[in-house]
Amino acid sequence: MDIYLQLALSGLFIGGIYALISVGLTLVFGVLRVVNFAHGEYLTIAMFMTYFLFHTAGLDPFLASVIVVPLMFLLGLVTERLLIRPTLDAPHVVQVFVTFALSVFLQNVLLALFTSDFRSVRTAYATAAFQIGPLYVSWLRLAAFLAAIALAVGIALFLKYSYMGSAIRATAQDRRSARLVGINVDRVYAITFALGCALVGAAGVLLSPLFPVNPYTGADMILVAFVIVVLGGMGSIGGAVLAGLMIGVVESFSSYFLGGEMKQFVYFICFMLILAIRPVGFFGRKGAEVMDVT
Amino acid sequence: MSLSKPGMSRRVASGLLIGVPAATLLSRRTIAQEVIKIGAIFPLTGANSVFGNQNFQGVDIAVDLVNERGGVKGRKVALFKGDGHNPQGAISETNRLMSREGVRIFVGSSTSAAGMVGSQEAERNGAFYWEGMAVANGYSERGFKHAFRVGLNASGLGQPAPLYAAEVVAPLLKIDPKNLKVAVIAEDSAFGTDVSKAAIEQAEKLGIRIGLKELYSARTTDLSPLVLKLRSLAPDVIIATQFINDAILLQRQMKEMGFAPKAFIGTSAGHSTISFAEAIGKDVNGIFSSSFPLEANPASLTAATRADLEEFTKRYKAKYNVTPAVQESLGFVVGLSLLRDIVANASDVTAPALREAAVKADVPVGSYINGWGMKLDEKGQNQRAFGSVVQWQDQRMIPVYPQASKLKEPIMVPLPAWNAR
Repeated sequence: MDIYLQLALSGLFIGGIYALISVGLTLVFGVLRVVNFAHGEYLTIAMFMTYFLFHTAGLDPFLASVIVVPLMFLLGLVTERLLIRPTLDAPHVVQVFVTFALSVFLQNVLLALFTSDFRSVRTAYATAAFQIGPLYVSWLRLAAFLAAIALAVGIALFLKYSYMGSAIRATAQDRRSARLVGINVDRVYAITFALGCALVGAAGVLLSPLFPVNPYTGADMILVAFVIVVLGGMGSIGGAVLAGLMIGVVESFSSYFLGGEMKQFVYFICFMLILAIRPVGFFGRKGAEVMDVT
Repeated sequence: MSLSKPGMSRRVASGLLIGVPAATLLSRRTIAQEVIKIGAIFPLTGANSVFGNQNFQGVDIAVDLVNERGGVKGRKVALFKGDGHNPQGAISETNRLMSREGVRIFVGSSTSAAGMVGSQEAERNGAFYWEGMAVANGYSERGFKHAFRVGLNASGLGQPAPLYAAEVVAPLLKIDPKNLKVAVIAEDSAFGTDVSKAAIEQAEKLGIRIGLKELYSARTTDLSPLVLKLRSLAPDVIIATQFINDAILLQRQMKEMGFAPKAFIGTSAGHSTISFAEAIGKDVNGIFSSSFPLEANPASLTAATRADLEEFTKRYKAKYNVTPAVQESLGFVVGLSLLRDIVANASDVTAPALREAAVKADVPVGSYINGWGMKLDEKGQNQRAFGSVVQWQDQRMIPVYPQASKLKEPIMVPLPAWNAR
């Protein structure tokens, strides 16, 4: 029994981080209908920022978030203005090329600047853990999990209760009507894209003390985020959280009982089965992938 | 007047059009007669680029050194980069260097994925391929005439770990080798599966029981299920084939869960990198890593090789601003063995002549900075390459096995508690 609890706990912890990476991606998709292939590179950039703040200014990663997250928000604003906005009315394939090219470009810029060496943020508390009965709980993974869930809940509340949140939801539902009722749609797009980047920035900060970073770290982690976004329902934040946690737990159990090399196989089987039964994912709505469904 | 200007520029332009390519062709031909072109197929971008760049830079220093010593038979050597970041990349870059630059001699490849296909393209086009790092056993089993490997194969890389466990670790633990409980874990690419298979075969020959064999993807973000399995087995020794990211993750998660074996022997590639030590700090102390040799015991090297070692270290630090480690010195050995002991002894630089020189080469052990010599068997595999075992002591890699490499006695067997390392 202990082993099941420990596996579930490990799965939930990693799933929380998956969820946080995916929330930004699904938010951008839900509102802008843009699949951001460079999302992983923004994660890498945030991890590099955290690394350098830690090593040059001695800033603890959790404190560094105060600098990294706003910087990522700014980077998101700039990217949206320069690359995303000009392509919003273009066919989907153009957006795919733009964000994919951005991904390759950023990887190579990072490679040129920092080489492909792995760099680690090594804090005193990196491997600190406590025991509850037979369960081992890593402080850092617990903190990362709680922060990830808090951020996801925070963003959901923001969307539901703030004026900007309502404007974002209105734009997501129907861009033309939103414009008709006086919503500045361009501003909504810019803020949404920047929010997506800030969220993945927060994920980068939380991941930094856990994983070493090199220019390909984000690319390695992003595949699972795409699976989570589709599984949760494209554009659904609650869906991304649920799917993230589910994939984390499925990975954990399948690694233990079937072997580590089987875990991707198992979660893709789950993925296909769930989509066969419910093609829109957990909380997706039909036609979400179509631009401006009026 | 107004017409004469364009006329003039047209004449100048046509003169340039004829003159510039002619000059380029001429200079290319002159260079072609003088320069020996070496194509370097390494993963310079992508997931394996850490090793790729380190290997390449080692080769680069060897080329610099040979050129400064007067080149090969008076001819300078030029190195051309090819990015073999994946098999498709290795194929297209090998072909590009052959067709565009006229390269007929290649070195490589850091990964078996690149080395297997790069050498195949070279062989198909009658070029010569000199492998140093790719360990896949299949490399030398294909009957190729012009593909040789100066470095280790997977068996050479995997065997030292169980040998060391049986010969040194078991007596220190006061356990009969036949009663040692060993877990073998590996990342699931060709590298991990081949090397761990060689380790298991060697262990079985020694009568060691393998309690657990587990593969996982090197891109994993969570190894806690594996740690739980290891904890329930409680092995005396873990033999692990891992890259950097996953090697770091495993150590951190073992510590989180308060589990450690009595001895941990990595079989590369992550365990013998500086990044590994930087990431886990003092926790690295006591960990063994069997790998390509880090450095040789100076007593086992010839005087000329000791001078090479000093020169290599000095030049590498000056050019790349970092102290060279295992992969860099391996690159140097691969470059130097090719230029000094093959190309320089061949009657010309065609693949058949190079093959003849390779087959005849008889370089005694201790002639390269990592302690190796060179005698290639009929399949093209170097019989005088050997793996060694290093141990992290005081956060530095210290060679402890075999005798030709050994600098210090092993410490921390059994491994102390996590906070006592």
